[in-house]
Amino acid sequence: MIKRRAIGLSAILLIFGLLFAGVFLLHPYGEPDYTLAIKQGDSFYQRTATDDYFIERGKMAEESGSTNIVAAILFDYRGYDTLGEATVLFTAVAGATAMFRRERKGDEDE
Amino acid sequence: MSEKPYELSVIVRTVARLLFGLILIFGFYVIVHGHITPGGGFQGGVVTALAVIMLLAAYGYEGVVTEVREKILERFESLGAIMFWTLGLVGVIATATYFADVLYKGTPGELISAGTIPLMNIAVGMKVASGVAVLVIIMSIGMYYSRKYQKAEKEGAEE
Repeated sequence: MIKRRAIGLSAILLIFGLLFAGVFLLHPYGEPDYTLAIKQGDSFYQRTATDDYFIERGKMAEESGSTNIVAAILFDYRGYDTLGEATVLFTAVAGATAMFRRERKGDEDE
Repeated sequence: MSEKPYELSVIVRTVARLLFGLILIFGFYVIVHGHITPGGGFQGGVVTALAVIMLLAAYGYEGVVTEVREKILERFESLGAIMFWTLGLVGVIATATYFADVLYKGTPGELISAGTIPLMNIAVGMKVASGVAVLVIIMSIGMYYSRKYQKAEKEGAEE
């Protein structure tokens, strides 16, 4: 029992240590990776490398072939986001179905 | 006072019946043209689910549940999810990237173009349409039965 606890505790500490070490490898907070600054009128606005990629490749509709840039980003560049959203809906339906199914079974029993 | 207290008036029922097909067609249009015009799977799916919700509002639970079976809709929801994940895996097989845009690219702006994007739109549209419709139908079923039990309990207490 004590041995199992020691193994579990050391595993937790190891995972926590690795995650905590990963924090120092992150990009500094509040300093996006700007690659270019664009002047428009009196004000400057900046774009990150990712923004630039989406705008440049997306507006020509050559890489994805979709003239709707939102669809290109949702289903091609950022497919994982859509996967997460679909999973949220799936979980909601599964939860609601599981919750109300008992009532219907009880009705059949009567 | 009508015979069926859960139904709305004749005007509402007639308009809902007339608009049902039109809303379905508009929803399918938004889903299928997701890669060309504004909209897409999520938006079109919600529009399609709205047609069922409108019927539910006009005819009540007892009028709709005989026409729309939530078991079949649940299956459609799972089918949409499987289709979406499979289309992601098609990208893995073709280019080693999940959700890569493969298949026929075509000319941008045409209906059959943009590789897997329209297919994914259809999958997500199927999923959202049946998912939202199932959520509302299941909740109305729960409400119907809880009301029934409350009524039965009250009658039992009176006796």
